[in-house]
Amino acid sequence: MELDELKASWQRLDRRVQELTAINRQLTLDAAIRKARWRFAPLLAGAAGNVVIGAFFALASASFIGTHRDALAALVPAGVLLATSLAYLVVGAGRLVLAWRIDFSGPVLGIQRSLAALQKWEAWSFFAMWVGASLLPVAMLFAIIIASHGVTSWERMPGAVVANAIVWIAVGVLPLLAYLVSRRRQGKLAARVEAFLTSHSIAQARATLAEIDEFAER
Amino acid sequence: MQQTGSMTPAASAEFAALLEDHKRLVFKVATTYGRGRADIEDLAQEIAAQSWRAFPSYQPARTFSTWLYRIALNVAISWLRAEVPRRRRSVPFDADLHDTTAVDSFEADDGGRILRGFIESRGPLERALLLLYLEERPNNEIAEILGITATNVTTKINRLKDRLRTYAETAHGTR
Repeated sequence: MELDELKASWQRLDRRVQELTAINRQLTLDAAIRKARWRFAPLLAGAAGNVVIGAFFALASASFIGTHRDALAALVPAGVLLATSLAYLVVGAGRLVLAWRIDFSGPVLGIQRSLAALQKWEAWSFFAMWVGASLLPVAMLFAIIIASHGVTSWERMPGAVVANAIVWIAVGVLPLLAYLVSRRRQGKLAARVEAFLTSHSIAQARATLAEIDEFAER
Repeated sequence: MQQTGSMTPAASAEFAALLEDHKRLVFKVATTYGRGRADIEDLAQEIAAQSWRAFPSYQPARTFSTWLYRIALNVAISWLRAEVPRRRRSVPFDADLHDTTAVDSFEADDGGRILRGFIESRGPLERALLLLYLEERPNNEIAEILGITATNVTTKINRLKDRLRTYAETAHGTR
């Protein structure tokens, strides 16, 4: 079969597509506007949630640091809280800015490269937020105990401090350590955690970038 | 995904008219990347939605079809990258995708079936090149749409034609 015959088949599709009145009705300006508005809702909600949560805890921890400047025991959890909150804030704001800046009317290869880079960045930032999330609740609990019972909490409420430390170790530190050890040994646990948290996004993004580079160079 | 703000009624009317004039372009990109009526409708709407968002930044001095091809292909490629892995995880790929559409009637003739098979065997970027070649767009326009040099386009199209020819001979020979 010659290329001209194949092109003729394509032209026939052209005519058939034109005849598809049922589908053509779907392509209205109203539908386009509705879709454009709706499709950004999850992205907006997720990123805005990050920004709001990050800003709230960043302000709270900064205020806490301001009132406990002299107490090292208070500054450590508050510092962790502040750093994690700022990371949430930056990740949320960064996601919004990066997504908003992509203009689909740009050249295909450039835009696809930007999208793959965004996907890679999002996957890593999500992973970083998991690490932060394992430290955030514990730091917050320590800060609450210190705020309500003073920096001598250990002497006044040893049970609460020990319980808090156990929760921290069990929920935050142990899984993190297990992951880090597994990652160092290139173990299955680390691979599974990364695959779960990033939905294979990083591997996909890398494959996409490699494909684009290959297409551009060959 | 660029945020463009709301359009004036005149700009909306202009966009609606241009979209109406270029419906076939949108549907053919959707047909190249989607399978079955639901996919084609979904993709066509997605392309229209992204075009509507980007329209305020469109410069009338440039060709509308080139601008629309860029958006349509970017949307379709992104859709294919996101949708196909998701579908593979949730349902068998072919389970719910074949209903009566232009694609089915397109596949009713030998040439259409061969082209459909070849299109589906290509990666998303090569599909874009194939579509633009079949649409007989000039090489410099293809280069502008894809963001590669015109020389590169010529080389790639020659390779693509060779592959298509080989594929067609093999597919036709096995019938």
